[in-house]
Amino acid sequence: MLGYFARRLGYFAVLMVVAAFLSYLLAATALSPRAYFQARQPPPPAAQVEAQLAVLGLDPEQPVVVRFGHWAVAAVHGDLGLSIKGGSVNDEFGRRVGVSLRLLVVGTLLGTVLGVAVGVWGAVRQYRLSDRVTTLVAFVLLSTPTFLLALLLKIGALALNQATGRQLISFTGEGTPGLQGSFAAIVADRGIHLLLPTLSIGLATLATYSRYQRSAMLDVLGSDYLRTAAAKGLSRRTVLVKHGLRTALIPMSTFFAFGFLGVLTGATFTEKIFGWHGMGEWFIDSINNNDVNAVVAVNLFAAGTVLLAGLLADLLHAALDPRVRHG
Amino acid sequence: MAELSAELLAEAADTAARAPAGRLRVTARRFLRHRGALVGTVVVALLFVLAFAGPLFAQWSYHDIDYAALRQPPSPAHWWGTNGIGQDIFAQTVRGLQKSLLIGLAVAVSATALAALVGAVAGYFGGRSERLLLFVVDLLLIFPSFLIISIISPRLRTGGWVAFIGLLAIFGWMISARVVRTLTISLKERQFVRAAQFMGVRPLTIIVRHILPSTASFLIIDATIAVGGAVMTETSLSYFGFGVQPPDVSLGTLIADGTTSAVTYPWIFFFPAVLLVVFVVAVNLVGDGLRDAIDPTSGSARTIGRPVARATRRPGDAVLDVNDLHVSFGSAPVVRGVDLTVRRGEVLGIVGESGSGKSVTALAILGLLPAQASVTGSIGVLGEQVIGASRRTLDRLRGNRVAIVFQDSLSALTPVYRVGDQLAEAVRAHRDVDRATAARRAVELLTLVGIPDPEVRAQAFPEEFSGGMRQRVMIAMAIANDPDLIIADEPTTALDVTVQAQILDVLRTAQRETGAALVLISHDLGVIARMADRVAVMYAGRVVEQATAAELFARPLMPYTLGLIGALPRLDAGRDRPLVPIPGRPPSPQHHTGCPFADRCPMMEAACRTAEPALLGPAGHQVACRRADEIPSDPFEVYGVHAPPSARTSAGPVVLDVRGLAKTFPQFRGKVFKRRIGSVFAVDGVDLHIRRGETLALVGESGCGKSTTLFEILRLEPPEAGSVELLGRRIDGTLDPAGRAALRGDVQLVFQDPMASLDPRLPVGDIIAEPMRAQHAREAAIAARVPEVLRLVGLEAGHAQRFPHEFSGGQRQRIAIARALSVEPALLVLDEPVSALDVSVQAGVLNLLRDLKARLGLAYLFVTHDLAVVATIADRVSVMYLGRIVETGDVDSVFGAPRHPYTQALLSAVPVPDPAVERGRERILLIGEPPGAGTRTPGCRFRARCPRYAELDRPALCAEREPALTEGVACHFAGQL
Repeated sequence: MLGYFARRLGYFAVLMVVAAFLSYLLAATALSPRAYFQARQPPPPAAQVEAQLAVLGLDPEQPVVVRFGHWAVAAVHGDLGLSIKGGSVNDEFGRRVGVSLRLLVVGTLLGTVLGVAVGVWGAVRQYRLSDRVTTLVAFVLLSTPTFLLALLLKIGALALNQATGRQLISFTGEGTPGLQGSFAAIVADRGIHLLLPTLSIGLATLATYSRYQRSAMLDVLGSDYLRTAAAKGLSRRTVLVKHGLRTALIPMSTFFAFGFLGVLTGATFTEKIFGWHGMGEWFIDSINNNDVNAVVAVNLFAAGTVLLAGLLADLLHAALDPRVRHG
Repeated sequence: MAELSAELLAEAADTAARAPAGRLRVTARRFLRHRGALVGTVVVALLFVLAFAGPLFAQWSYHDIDYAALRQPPSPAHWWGTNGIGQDIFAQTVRGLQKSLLIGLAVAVSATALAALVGAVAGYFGGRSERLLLFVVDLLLIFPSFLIISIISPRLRTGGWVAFIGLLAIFGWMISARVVRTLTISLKERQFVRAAQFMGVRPLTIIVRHILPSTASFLIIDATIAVGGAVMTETSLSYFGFGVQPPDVSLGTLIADGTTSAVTYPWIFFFPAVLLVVFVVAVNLVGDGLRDAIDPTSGSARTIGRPVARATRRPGDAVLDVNDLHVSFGSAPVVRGVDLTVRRGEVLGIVGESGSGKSVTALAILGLLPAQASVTGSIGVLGEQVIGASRRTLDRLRGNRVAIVFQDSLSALTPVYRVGDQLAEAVRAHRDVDRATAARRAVELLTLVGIPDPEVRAQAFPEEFSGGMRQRVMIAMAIANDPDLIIADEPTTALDVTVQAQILDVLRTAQRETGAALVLISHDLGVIARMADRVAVMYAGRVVEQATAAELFARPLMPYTLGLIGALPRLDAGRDRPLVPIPGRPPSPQHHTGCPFADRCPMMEAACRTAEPALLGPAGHQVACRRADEIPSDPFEVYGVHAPPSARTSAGPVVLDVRGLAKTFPQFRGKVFKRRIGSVFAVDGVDLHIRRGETLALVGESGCGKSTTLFEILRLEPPEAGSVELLGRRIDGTLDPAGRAALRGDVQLVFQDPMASLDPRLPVGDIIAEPMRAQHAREAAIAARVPEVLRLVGLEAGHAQRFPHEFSGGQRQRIAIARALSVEPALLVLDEPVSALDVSVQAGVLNLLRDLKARLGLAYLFVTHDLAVVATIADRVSVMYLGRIVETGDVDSVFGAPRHPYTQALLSAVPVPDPAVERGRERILLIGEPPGAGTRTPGCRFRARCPRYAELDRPALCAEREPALTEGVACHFAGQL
């Protein structure tokens, strides 16, 4: 069991290193930091640009592998380099990571739990009205790109605020800047700001999970062992929950690992649209600024969280399936 | 999103891959019935028309600027209004839709094609290509493709949107490729692919001819959903400026334009946004409809009309009293008026072929039928009505007063709970006892059903149990609460014959201990003869004959029963007894106007077709046949079967000579990171000799290595150890590919399951021609040969144009035999060729094989677990145990006077379909189960289960030295009986 997780971690570490190398390679070759400096008004002299690039570790004269080597040595010591504006990537990372994680964790948790519940309900009531309605809603949600969902939520809130003439739902940033008041007022303000971004991440997750859970549950509902459980004289509830749901949850842990990637991508749009200063917003801005070191840092964050989700999925699997622990 | 659905789709598509090609029409009908899919299709079509025909009607081009109309709401001049610089929203949206659709389509098609190719190759060849694929997919999962595309895409100014399509496709194929790989791996194990491999068809031909067509259904659905996914990705990227670049537009850039003024000038935002969502929803609906149409398990639950459950009368107070039971699914009746009565302590046997309604009857008795089943009539258990009973009543009856033992399946027990806990749960469901007491009772029950080490085994999970042990657990569960009635539905069907004997014994013990009545359902007349006091024969959803066991087997009155008894190969009858082939096939569920057996009945007369005969006669022997009084009691007379020509031909030259053949497999542990922990000695020194005109049967229980032996011979590669000589040609390093290809024509294979071994997508003519094509036969020769072999196996030349699903099981096995015979082989290898067939059609195939051998002078290597079949068809027999031959010789002498204790036990475990013989027999019960394949222990490998070893007080010789096969038997004490 422990050995298994140790080996998993080893494999993840290899993946992480390869991912770091590839993202550096890609960012360093595809982005053009020189363009960033040249676009300044007035354009700085060539020599100054070269010097600036060298400071950033982006000297185009050096082979990209050598540049990666320098970056990697520093990164292992915990230094992710300088951003193109001259600030420390580490500092910016520190400022933004909490923002993103807050959004990701709340949205994923809510979406997963509710999605599983809706899925099970739909499977048990297959082809009834409630199943058809949830299926249809899930379909529309699954067919709406996250950016559009976020936009629609935002436009809806805006229209609501205008119609009522009050700021019912705030949706820009994490909180009202400079808000003074009691602790409760600040929490309430934060909560209101969290509402729409969480919805736009959570709804997409909910829709996905409800479909998978429904399908997994339907598979289990037709299984021989559920029939055996019913033949023992167990009540329908025990049969469905103890024997059915428990088993149907196991494949979901795998989807959790896969699905997190989609959540992460969705979060990027959500942050940008709702003006949250998180990792996703930073990523889009960094690409537009040709900021190589920042782009690599965000890629590392993405790889790290996906692997973490993978590890979590493994743990979840072990928790749900005693055979894993036993073997 | 699309990636995830792909994973789930794999299963549906795999099911679809098993479906025959003729299902296409059924699939189309199911698709059209799917309302959502229909709407989706129409919407997608309309949007395509709008995207490509729209510009023809619009007054404006998408880049025209109307300076006089800025931010105009919809009007006759600008149908959908204008944007901030006076561009026509209709023209722009149509142009954006066009672009998005083109990109979506192009990406989906190219990504799916790439996925199919890479997945099939990686899955088929495995090894390095496969590991590379998996690593790339893992890498892409943590290194999101969206991020990569955002970085690269804006730099692709030169290539424009074509390069953008390429980029999306390159990053969009991996997940589908992985699914195709999974499908390919499972297809590779399918018998029709293995059959092609053994015929010598080249790998690339197999991929193109068999693998890719079988994954087509998955690929079509996948590509459909991928269109939606690609459009979503494209618009997302374009929204942020990473996709389609101005001045060109896509739905994404249009939505971006409209965002800032969405509340004040909604038309700029909402027209493109709504079109986007509508299109993706429609595409997904089409994909969902396709999946439902292809997957036979989904959607079929929608029956017409509401199912009824109506009890028609008050039940009697017998243990079981079934009266006029009718069960139907939708409009298809499955059980059509069954009456059964079982009294305390009695054993009722129900016998019937597949589709006779016997299992549905069993489920109905426990109220376990699926919700869409309509049930009428009356089912009384101890005087309580089951039909329409409340959940509470059913919960109280089930597992308490009436219990059931299902056919063994891997998933009969919940996989995630320990066996002891599941037993304890059954106890606690009906008794108010604490956990510790229930756990103790579970161990007691395990002891009672003969599970060794019950305390330890109670802690194990179901997957750690063998089939026989799982079945013991099922019986323990059934008797947990001392029921009054036990129903056993094919309890021993999936088990080996020695284990079957044990389980039947346990069932007897269980019945004796509880004093319960037993309803034993089986297709095996031998099992019924051994166990039942009274027998009901079911056919087409009805009981057609009912009598005491002795009476039924001695004086069967219904032609069907007569046929069944005559069709069954018997251990005690020998090769000169003919087998009765009942023509036709068992009927599918339907309404019958006349006697349902009329089409197959030799005694049929016109009146039989007008009305269905009722079950009549004295209580001791009832029969549903108009002519019961006139029927002779000899099946051979009724069916007009004569003794077969003496099959004994003088033995010719040696066709196959195998000496000391060995095959070991590495044994691994761990699921993700495999470690080799040892070797499995699957075949461990096997000798076989077959002459022309001779049938050698290789018998043994599962895991004994008989199939491995067979595939080692068919591989035509130098063996790991020992030698294989085919037609005098030794298979060793000197055999070049050309020589090997030529030899492939001399040895052909017939698989167990004719459904699986024929590619459902090929017409019969192509299937039969496959070995000839592999031998590079000329097309003219093939065209001449196909009708010839079809006639040879009793089919018609015209059948070549049909597809396998149009034939019955027996006919399909004839097609498989025709395919094998097409290249005129010297040796036919038959791997359990009749065990997947119903008894009534089995006989026809066995008769055909006997006949072909006599006419063509073939040699057969006949692999089977069924000793009665061996007695019917083989000249010589070799009995295999744990990778070695333990006894070999003429069938008459080996079966007449077996010398190895294992052969003796095997023979005594086979039930004979005659209660008079069966009940008088003394039986040698083996202890334990056939051990897992290939463990090599010093000394005799059978001694752990050997009754003689125990009898002789465990002589040291058996533990020290492995007995050699001398004079046809490998036992140190063969002489001492």
